[in-house]
Amino acid sequence: MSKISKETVEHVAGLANLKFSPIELKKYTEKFASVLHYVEKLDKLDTKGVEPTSHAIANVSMTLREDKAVDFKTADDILKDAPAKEGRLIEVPKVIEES
Amino acid sequence: MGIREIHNRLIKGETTSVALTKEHLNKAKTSKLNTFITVCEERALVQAEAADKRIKEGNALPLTGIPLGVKDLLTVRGVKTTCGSKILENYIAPYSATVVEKLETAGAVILGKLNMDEFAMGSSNEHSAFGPVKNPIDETRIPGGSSGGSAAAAAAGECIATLGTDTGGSIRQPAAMCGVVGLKPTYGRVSRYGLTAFASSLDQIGPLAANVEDAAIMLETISGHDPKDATSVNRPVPDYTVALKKDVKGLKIGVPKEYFIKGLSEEIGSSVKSAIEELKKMGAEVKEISLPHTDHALACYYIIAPAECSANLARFDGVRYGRRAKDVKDIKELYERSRAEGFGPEVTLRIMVGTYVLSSGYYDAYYRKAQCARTLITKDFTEAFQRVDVIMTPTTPTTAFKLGEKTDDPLQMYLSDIFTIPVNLAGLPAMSMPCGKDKLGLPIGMQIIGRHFDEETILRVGYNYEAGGGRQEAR
Repeated sequence: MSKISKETVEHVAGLANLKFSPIELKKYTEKFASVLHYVEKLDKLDTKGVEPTSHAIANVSMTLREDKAVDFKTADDILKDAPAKEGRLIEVPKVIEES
Repeated sequence: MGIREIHNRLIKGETTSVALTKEHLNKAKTSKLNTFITVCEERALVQAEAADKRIKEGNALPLTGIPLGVKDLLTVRGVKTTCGSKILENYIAPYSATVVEKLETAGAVILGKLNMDEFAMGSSNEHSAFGPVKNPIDETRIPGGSSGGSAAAAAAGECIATLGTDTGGSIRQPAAMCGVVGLKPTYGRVSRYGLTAFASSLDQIGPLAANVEDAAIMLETISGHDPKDATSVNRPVPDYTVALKKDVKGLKIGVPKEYFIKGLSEEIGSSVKSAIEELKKMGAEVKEISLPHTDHALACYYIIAPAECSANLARFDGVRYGRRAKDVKDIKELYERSRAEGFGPEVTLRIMVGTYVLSSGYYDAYYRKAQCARTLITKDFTEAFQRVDVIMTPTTPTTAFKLGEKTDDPLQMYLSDIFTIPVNLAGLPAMSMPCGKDKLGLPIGMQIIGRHFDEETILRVGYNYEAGGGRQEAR
């Protein structure tokens, strides 16, 4: 059984762009460990030679549409939901470090 | 009263959609069950007026003028779509889900958006940012989840029928807990365009209603290929309401021994077995079958679903829509704080599990392994369906538990979906319907599972059982 440390949880939180307080970190470490412990019961299942499921329904091919530009009318409504805007651009805090 | 009866009253002019809508809006607004997150009063009345005009002109369809509710995971243009989460508490959808458009084209009235577990993750509707929903049969108990609002509103008569979504049982389990019919279609039968994705290979939208025929009418209206959903399947939609009425003589019902185990309430087990006996008396053949990988389904699901959810919920980052944290110093803090402030504990837990099982070094051991287990679980069903036409099981291991009873124990909560989860993994259609009550008067649901795209047979079994006097009126 994998040992789940607070460091593991912090690492995963970093990957998932989540941040925990020390109390939350402890609580999530416990719950996280108990879920992982449960799902590890799959370890005992013999899956040698079994193909993983790649499509929810077998033998259904995805059809692609024609590569043609289509009129898109919802841009204004979408922009209404943006938390911060400048004209038709969505504003975010600094992304690039100044060297 | 079912959809067909109400439709006939509307056609005859014995009532109007406006009158019906006002009556149901009132129920929605005064509900003690916390079923609605948003009530669309003005919008619904406009729809009702248009429906009445259409009825007078003789152009009414079965759903024209009928007041319905939709789970708040489905977008309705111009209306708040919160997904039960703080992170979207003020998000106004810029487009409507295909299923909503189909209902509205048929002339239905959308009363509002129904409460749910946040991002469809939960089995009790206690994980909503907008408060828990209560079970109409006993308000100290949960309605089930994640489509708790959809089930409770249908059971309490606040909506004639509702739409919910089902990834691991979220239509069927609350339907069982509230005593209504709930159907999850085959994966790909109904378009997911406008459904906020939780687990893209498992999610489906489906109806909850007071009786089987109503579920069939709803299913027929929302089904069909949609070019905007690349996973929706291009297959004609059968006339589900016609298919209902054939009998069940010679139909083969499989009863899997792995579902009648320790941990299943004795009352539920015997109630489901009685229902199967009823169908046997109507001419069906009953066979014991085995689905040997049943015991691995929950573990398999709790790797795959969180993995897919961690990818799908990455879009909620405070940038383009939804809650954005204030006074942040850089982009990373924007992401971290917007998400930490916006997501509830169950969603956070599942994102964590999902991120871990997909991360470098663990992908093969967990995610790939789980998808292999999924192949074996699906194969169990494929082999069983060579011998039987439908599979019948209990829907849940217990009846509705008390609010607060399992909230802090994720694993205990997850166990309430053990009978519904394998169905999603295999992409099969399944319906839960009432088959009795326990000694406290709490509803018991039985699950009817069909072959891929064979919703007709499921509905037929359910309809025959209901017609044979086995039906429990929700209201």
